[in-house]
Amino acid sequence: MLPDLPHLALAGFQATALLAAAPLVSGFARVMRAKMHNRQGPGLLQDYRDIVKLMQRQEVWPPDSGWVFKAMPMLVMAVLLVIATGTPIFTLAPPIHVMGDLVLSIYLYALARFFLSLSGIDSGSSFAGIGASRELTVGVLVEPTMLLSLFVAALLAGSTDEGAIATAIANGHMQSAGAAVLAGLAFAFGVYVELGKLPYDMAEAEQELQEGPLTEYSGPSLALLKWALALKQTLVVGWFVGLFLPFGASADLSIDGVFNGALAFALKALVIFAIVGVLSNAVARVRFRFTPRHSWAGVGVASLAFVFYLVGV
Amino acid sequence: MLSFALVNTLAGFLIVTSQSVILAKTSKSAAKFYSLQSLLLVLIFLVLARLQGAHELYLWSATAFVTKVVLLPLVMLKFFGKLVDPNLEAESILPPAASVALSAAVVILCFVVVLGVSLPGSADIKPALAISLAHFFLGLVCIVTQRNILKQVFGYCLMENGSHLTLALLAPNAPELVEVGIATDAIFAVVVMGVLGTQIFRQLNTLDARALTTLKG
Amino acid sequence: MIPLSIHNPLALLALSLALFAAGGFASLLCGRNDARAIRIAGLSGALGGLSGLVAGLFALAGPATSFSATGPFPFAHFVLRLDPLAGLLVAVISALALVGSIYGLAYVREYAGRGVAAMGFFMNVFIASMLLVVTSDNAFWFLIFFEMISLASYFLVIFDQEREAVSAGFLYFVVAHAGSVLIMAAFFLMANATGSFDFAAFRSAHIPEPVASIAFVLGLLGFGAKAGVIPLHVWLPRAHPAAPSHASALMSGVMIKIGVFGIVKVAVDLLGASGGPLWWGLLVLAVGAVSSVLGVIYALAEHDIKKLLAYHSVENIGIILLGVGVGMVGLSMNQPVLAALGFMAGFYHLVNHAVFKGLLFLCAGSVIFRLHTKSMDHMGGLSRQMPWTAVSFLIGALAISAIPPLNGFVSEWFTYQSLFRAARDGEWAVRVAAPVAAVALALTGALAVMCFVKAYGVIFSGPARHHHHDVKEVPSPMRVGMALLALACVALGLASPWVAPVIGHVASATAGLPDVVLAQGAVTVPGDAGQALLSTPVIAVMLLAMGVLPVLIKAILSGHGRPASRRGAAPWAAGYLPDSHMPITAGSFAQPIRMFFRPLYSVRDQLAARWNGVEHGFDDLTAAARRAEPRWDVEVIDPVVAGTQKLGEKLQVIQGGDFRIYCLYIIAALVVLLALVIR
Repeated sequence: MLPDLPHLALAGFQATALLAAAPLVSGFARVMRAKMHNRQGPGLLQDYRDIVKLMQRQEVWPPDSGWVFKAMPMLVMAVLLVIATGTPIFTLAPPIHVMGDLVLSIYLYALARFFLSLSGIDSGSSFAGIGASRELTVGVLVEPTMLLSLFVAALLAGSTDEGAIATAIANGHMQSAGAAVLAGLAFAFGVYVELGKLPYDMAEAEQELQEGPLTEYSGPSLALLKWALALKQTLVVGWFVGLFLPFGASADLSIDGVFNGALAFALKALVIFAIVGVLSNAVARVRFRFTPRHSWAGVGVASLAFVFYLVGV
Repeated sequence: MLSFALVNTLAGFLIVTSQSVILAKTSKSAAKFYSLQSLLLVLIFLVLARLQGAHELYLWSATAFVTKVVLLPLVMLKFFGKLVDPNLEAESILPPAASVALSAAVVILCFVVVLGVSLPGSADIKPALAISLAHFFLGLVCIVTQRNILKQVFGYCLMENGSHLTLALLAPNAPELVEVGIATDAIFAVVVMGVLGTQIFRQLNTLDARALTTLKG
Repeated sequence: MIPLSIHNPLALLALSLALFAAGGFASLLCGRNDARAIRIAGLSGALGGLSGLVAGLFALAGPATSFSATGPFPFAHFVLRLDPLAGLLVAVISALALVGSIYGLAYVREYAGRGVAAMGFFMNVFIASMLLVVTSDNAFWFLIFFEMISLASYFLVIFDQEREAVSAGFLYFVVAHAGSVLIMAAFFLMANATGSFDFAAFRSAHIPEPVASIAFVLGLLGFGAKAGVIPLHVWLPRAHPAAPSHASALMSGVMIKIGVFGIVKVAVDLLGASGGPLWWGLLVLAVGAVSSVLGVIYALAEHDIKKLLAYHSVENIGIILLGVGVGMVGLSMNQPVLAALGFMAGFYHLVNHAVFKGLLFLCAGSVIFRLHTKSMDHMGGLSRQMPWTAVSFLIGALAISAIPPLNGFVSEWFTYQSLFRAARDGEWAVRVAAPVAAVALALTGALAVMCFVKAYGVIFSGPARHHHHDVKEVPSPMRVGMALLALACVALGLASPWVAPVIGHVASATAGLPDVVLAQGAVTVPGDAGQALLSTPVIAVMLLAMGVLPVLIKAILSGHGRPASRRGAAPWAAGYLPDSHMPITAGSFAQPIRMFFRPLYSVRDQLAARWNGVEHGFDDLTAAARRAEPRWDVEVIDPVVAGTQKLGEKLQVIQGGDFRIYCLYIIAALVVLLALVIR
């Protein structure tokens, strides 16, 4: 059950590929925004250029910061890379089987959120502090939806292993298609909130909170942090796609299978990020006070999926 | 001449002497009157002995003479002579006339009581019996009305005399030992009370009975 | 005598009890010599804890051993039984006692001059009575030792002698005794049905249905009050903060577990391993879910570090009860794997919570030791000055927030898996309830993350809000205590493939079920490899491995010609001069949750008002008694006495004091009598 060499290789490949592709995703989002604002935009590869530029800059720490502030970007990136090795994105089974449990994935994201928010307090900046508080609050509000939808999917597949869920959906062996669809919708909503895009970008709220926990970062740390957050967005969408839209993912570890799976994922990600881009640029941010109404709607859809599962529709 | 009438007469004189004992001003004179009374008692015994042919009564009279006529008054005189309390103003709570009247009333009452009693051989001596009963109560009167504690002794002796006489009238054939008992009892009582009196005089420096109020509730 | 060998757990347990007792009395005898009392109490506690730990560990695997002696009454046989569950509890209690005693060697100096000898005595009595409660096999002795626990810890709670501490102690006393009464009632019902007070008799007899259910509910309420489930938790957030920190660690870490132990014992051990009706398990599940969510929500609103930790204890008891509830449901539905899995999850979380809650309380104690305040808003920036404490607290915070790969995550994962299995394989009521419970657990987890980010952040990170300039790290006994527990957190997490089967065996033995496969190599398995897999060692290795990559990237890509990093003047405040009131505080951090979950907070205020009524009720009762008492005197006794006195005064006249009158009375009486007779 422990990973063998091919699986480790796949894990490494998936992690590095997604890491390499992450700035492309955030670049794509910037281009979409520009186009919707009737501007030219900075270009798809701008974020790569930004990262390189930032790496050359001096780092300035806030006066009260401690080791958490300094270590956070690297910690978060490491955690996200570990998540990448456990999520079935290019293949139906997660690269490292023992890392592919849905509960583990949820709690690894919680680990990333823990340190992201902690650095917000550690910086001593009020904007970062509020951003941290909101980041955690959004995590609280969206957790029931995500867990319930995943739980329903797991019940339908008979296991909490993400690979089993992906396989079950890919093969169509679901006792209740309606429940699967609704669970997918609810999970999609949760993923959208986790992406941190308008209307739910509470933590970074650019005009309000000056980028929230990112406020006080500079230089290489900021570069790594932006990269890590872009990776998070890619991973979260990959999580959704890998579980509920696994069509095209490879069933085995053959090289062309994996390659086809990667290509399929890229296509699906493109479509999804396009939709996300349109949506996020068409609305304003939700007033923070009214966020629960939206999250309760998500819980409602997930509960409906649960009822469908119970009834067997 | 020797008849029960003599007995009754002598008993009547007994009342006089007991009154004198009660009303005597000093212990010495009271003792002398007591001696006289006891002499009268002895005479009554002698007459009774002769009348009823009870030989024990002779012995009784002899012992009564020795103890009550001679010995007791001597003891009293010796003891009580030293105890003089000049502060004792009124010896009695009743004036002498009232005291006499009270005694008379007691005697009449006892007569009435005795009239209702029917005992064998007592019809003739009913007056004497009444008087002897009355002496008992006269002794009580002495105790109650006299403030001098030494008079209490005399009152007791009067009571004792009365019971002695009653016994002699009703049971002339009673054995010797009874008489000895009565006599001894009298002596001891007087000695004890004398000692008590001396102690009280020493402690309280008074002979007034009203000073002895420890038993007050 | 029992042979004192390493393979005889009962003998080792007896040794540890003797050490605690001797240490306690010796400490008391020290009187005013504080230093000696601290040393004696600490050393005896540590040695007793070590002995008990070995005893507990040895009892985990083997069959149950017992020791019996005759007691003072025919129904009170003194029976001690060391079965695997008791062994687990004994190990946990002793481990915390060991660490707490080592910690106390330095910490108790803060209380010097205030009766430290007594504190050592009460601590040792407290620990010894807890050990005796979990091993008692007779209802009479169980209740006696249970009361001793409450009494000893009461004195620890009121140690501070401040108004709040005394009031908290009183509330604790009332609730503990109410709980004891309920437990007594449950035991009496069972004794009535079986005719004996021995647990062995309860086990072998089959108690008929209405009686068994009533006994279960009474036991649940009574032990639930001890465990601190909602709504019987009101004493917890007031009593635990008032006690000294190493005592709080023990109270939160093990004493409330005795409540859970009691619930398991009543429901599983005593009332039939064939399982009660299904609603028992569902009730426990519901209670667990409610306690976990409400506990953490209330914790979020606290500024007092120890109160926050106390509320978290409520939350974690809820999580333990989730596992226990699933186990009971499994027993009722005759599914041995599910039952074993559920109980195993509950017991694993019990052990883990004891470890990380103990650690957190000890760290809080260290901070209070240096800063002399419990309010988080007056701390801040301590990670530079107290690095050991900060790292230990961080490990504890990560553990309690169920962050992989630490121990809290493993037990919560097992809880999720047991709930999943129940939802997949159970009856319809369970299929509805289990996912709801899982959602509650997820909510709890997210809230716990928020709460501990706040706690660590406000205490150890950010700007310093305290005015102590010379704060240094705590003395080495305290550091050693914290380090031991932090290491235990990490070890229990990383070694989960080897720890899980041991705890699984305890669970199976308690419920009388066959052992369940819980690990294959370095991978933990929830009974069935097809359901899920988890491997904490692999997670740890992956985290370390992936941690290399960002470091590499930074090293490669960051320019070598760039200026050196520097510390800036102030964080950006949108053009305003930064102010010490700008950084976030404990209250403002949690404000969104207070806003979004306001109805749940009002529940707490209502409950608190009801329980304040208990205190007022008691005062009213004593006042009424005081008013009622004189009425009997005034209205009945006094008139009789006065009348008798008047009568006496009137009769007094006849006692003139003059003896001559008395003579007259005597003669008159004689005459009257004579007249009567003659007539």
